[in-house]
Amino acid sequence: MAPASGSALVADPDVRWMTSVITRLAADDFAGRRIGTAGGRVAAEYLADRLRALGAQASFDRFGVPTAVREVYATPRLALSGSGPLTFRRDFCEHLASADAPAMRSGPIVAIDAANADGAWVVDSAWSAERVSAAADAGAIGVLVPRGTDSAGWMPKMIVGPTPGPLPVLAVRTAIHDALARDRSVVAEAAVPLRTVDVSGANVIGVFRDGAVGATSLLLTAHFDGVGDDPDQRFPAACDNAAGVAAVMESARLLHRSLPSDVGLAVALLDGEEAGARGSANYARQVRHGTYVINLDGAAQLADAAHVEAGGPAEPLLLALDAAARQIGVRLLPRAMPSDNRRFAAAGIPAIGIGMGMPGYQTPMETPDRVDAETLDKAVRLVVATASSLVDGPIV
Amino acid sequence: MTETKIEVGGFSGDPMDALNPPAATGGCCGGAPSDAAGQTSTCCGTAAEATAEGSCCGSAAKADAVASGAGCCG
Repeated sequence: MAPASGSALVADPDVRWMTSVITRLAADDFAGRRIGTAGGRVAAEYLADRLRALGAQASFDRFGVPTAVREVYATPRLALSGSGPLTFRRDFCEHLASADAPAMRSGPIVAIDAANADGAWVVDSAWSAERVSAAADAGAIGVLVPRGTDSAGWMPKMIVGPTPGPLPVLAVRTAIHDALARDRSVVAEAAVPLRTVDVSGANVIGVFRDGAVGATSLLLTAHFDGVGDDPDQRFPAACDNAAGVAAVMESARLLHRSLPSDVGLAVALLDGEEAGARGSANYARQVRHGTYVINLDGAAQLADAAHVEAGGPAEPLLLALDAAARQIGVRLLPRAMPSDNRRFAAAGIPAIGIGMGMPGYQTPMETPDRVDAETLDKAVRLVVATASSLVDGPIV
Repeated sequence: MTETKIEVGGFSGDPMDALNPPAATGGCCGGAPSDAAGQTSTCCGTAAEATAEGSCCGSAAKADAVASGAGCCG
């Protein structure tokens, strides 16, 4: 077999450049890059500039989000008699089905099946829309449900959930919740400033070259949005997914120099993934037949293996990925990757989602220093080798 | 003499298994590592479930996730 034209990288991945992109995306003025925020918009502008500097034609693909996003607009508070105020996102956090309740509500704690819940905070073992409604009918002032934490003691933040109900709902750290379920003499006082906002977003598209008619095209994707900062807490989103964005852009830079000229090459930096993969849902409708999608979500800390999910007619892509991973020495594991790749696959486009780690996932601990340089390097090598193998056949 | 080939990369089994991988055990869109949100979430479910829902998450897995307070994606 003849050596493939993409059998070797034209240059080593530029880890220093990728790190600079990640650090910029995680900066204070981008405010965690939530869809529909000023921080998200300036991040998109920044990325379009970077793509232009790499030689791509950059544009924005704008879209609305039918799913309402929940926004914490002031720090929620919860205090218990005898123990004082608890810490937001470590001891408790908003439940996404909570009503907006900015004023403090004070009352005794009772069980969900208590005979009299009037004026009380109700302790329930899990959230249920029906039980919250019943508690509201019984005069309860709020609901407390249990929640675990990550290994560092944080409750990861999310921004889209079920339809808000009639009462404020707080998720309380399991150990505290268990204690409350046993000791009914406690009085709780809490406020949950959590509103629903309509948002629109913008994918950043960078076209490096159009493919020849009938030729293969590659679309490299990564979402750049995050869950956004809290009023008093930064969520830098360096791992999920500034790292993926940087790796995809660097991969495109290298592929632009190595792929045959008739092969199409574009990058889509997607918005609204954290709001339900809305950016990819919009853009998938515009992707032309003959395009293969490689989505990277998490490229910050490769552990034992990269996780891979494929969809659509992706058999050639999977074979190319497998060959590339063998060449580079990256183990692959079939695992659910519920990310933007699913939107492309659902549109009938061959797509793979690759995950290579997200330390500090959706907590304030997702800082640039947690992005592992070796993982970035491997992610780029894997994407480039996969693309090359797909276009030219297995690398020899 | 038999040579033992040690695989250091790629899938250990059939690459096509990635077309129908096991359900997510943690996190949401974006696939959190198992030691992050995994304690509280079984979010998103399988790709087939999500596709059937026109979403990136399966509704049953999503219901489980929000019940545990984790929330979920679209």
